[in-house]
Amino acid sequence: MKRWLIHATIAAYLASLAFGIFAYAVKFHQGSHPVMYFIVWDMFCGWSAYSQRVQIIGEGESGKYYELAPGPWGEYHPYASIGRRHYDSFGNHFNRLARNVLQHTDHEPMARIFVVEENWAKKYNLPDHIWNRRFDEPKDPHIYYHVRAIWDGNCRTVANYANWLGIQTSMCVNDNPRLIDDSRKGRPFFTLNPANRSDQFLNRGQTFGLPDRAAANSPLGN
Amino acid sequence: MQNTREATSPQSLRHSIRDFFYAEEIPYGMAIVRMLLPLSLLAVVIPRWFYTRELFSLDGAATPLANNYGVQNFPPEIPGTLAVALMTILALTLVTSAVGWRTRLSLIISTILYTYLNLLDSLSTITKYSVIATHVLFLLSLSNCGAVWSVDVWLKGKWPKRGAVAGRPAEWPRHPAWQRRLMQLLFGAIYFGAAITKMHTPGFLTGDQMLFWMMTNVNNYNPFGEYLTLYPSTLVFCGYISIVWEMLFIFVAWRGWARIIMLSLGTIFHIMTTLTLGLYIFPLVMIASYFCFLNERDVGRVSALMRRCRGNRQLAENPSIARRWKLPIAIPLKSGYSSAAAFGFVLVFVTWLGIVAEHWLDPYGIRRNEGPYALKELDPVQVNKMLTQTTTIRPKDKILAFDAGTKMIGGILSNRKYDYRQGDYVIAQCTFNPPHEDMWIECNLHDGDNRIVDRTGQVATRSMIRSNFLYNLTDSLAPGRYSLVLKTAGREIARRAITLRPRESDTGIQAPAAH
Repeated sequence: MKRWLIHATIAAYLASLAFGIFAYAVKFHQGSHPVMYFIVWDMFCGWSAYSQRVQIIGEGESGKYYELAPGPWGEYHPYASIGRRHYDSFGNHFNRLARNVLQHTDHEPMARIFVVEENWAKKYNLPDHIWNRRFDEPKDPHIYYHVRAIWDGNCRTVANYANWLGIQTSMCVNDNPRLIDDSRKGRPFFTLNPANRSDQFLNRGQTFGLPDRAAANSPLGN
Repeated sequence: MQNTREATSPQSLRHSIRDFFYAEEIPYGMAIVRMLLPLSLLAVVIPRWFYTRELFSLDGAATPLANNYGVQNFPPEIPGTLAVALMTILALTLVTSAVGWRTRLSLIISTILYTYLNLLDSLSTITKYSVIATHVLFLLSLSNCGAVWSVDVWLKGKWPKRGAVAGRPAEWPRHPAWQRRLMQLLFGAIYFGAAITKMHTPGFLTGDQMLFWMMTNVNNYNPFGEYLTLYPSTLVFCGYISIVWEMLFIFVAWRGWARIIMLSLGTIFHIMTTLTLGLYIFPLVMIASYFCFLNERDVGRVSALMRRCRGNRQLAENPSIARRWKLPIAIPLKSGYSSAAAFGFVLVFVTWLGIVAEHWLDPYGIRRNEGPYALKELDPVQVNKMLTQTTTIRPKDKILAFDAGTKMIGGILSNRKYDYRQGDYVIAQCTFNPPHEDMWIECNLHDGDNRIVDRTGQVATRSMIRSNFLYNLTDSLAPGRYSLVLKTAGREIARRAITLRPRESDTGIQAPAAH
């Protein structure tokens, strides 16, 4: 009995390893369940040319702005000097981070909460002595800000947007008049889109780049 | 002929498989993995213990991995104090696993808690090295790794009385090797899967993925990686070597020189990930687990080598390791029940201590005299700047680098050169930062007075990472200083100065200068 249990354990273990490799190689159910994370070996499968950080900003009813991440007690830095919130590349957990800080701090009621992405070209991360050996130009970093989400004071979603890189990619594709014309053919004149509800929030004092949202809402975007 | 037929017969195959998985051996390798891996994981667990409430509980901001897969409440979250208790138990059982006290129980508890807590923090805890560690802990908990070099053996008074490692290996108990074999196959599968990932990843074999990764501190500080960005063509070689090594590992890392080469390459590979990418724990976990490739013969060889190095042959004859280490042979806990009771007591006491300490530390500052923390106020000018979105990327940010040279490897300029002679070819290479739209790129040659001498341009489609411009520096160009000027949409983005000298044969002749 014990022998057969060992046989079964070996067979099951090897079968799960083999399925993980197969699933990833042919893109079959590779993301169907969190358990797949334990048998798919897709280490470091993506990259981008831009560094990204995230800020979560609360606007109090008085009009003052507050930092909602990191919390005032500090932030866990899993690696080097970069805080935990910056590792949420999918943006699935910003809401939970903000709620936790609001729950454990003394503050006025919030009117709106913004999730803002900061992006800059990775080349500007190079230390000066490496930069000077590689480039003749002076180092001139520029941060591209992008509102990723807007929530109400209770952290309920008012508007969500694609990330900055996704929007930039969409804009690169959309930069083609023929393609835009083709995509508009057959579209109804009036559209009902939950993203449009964000206008009342967007127009409170700030001007947001409309081309972004146009790109995000276009059929070629996202 | 007969032998060949026998070797390939199904019966022979069955024997080979049986020998592979069930041959009995002293689990030296697994014992070393048992000692090293938990210590490596403690380097992750202890710093996170202080943030347990925030990272892993309902009273914080747990970020379950399952949410990224669209699955909710997997696994269920727990209150803060319970999370602290579990984290404390995990830290303790990792220690007891390493020293081999109640080894199997410690490893089972470690495996369950480590996996559970990891699943609750997808932002800063679970990653592929933690998944690999989960597999290894699981296989260790199935194995008899506690039968060698453990507190359990010492408590039972079964530590071999003779020089066990070299002289009398049979004195340690022998067990089937299947858990160690599964661990070896796990590493083969990991590397094979990683090779497939690299094949799927655009930009891996051109070195672009590594190049951009080395420009960040997203893992840890990596000064050597930053330096290596000056030589991007070396990454092409590294990419091919690593992919071939990963593919071959599962097939050849079993015996002879191939095993030594594969494991050595693996060790170098993982150390390089520390130096170039700033990975710390990943290499520790992998190298600690490599000891599952250690067999009895290796241990015998190492032991003999150590004896020779010490020049003390007496040691082989010499009595027990226990006596050499001055361990008391007569032990206080003779019964298994006493050991279990002591283990239970330590577990409960340390867990209680952990809960009290965390309460006293008050991570959210709720119990401070001043009351809870106030939120940090931000400068409205800065916030307005952040809320004013910038959509258009500056042309200079669409370009990673603009270099000139003469040789290319794997499509990448391998030598940056700014000093030429008449008759030379110069390759000007523009490397882009994706994403970028279809662009018209000009690379013009300007003389010392900034007059355009030559003009050339091409379309860089949005899928391109590099554009190359080839110039023939013919005799029609007078020796002197020139500039290669990169432009897009009529705007200058980058400029590289080059010097043009007379042909080598003409060096004695005075050539007209180009200002």
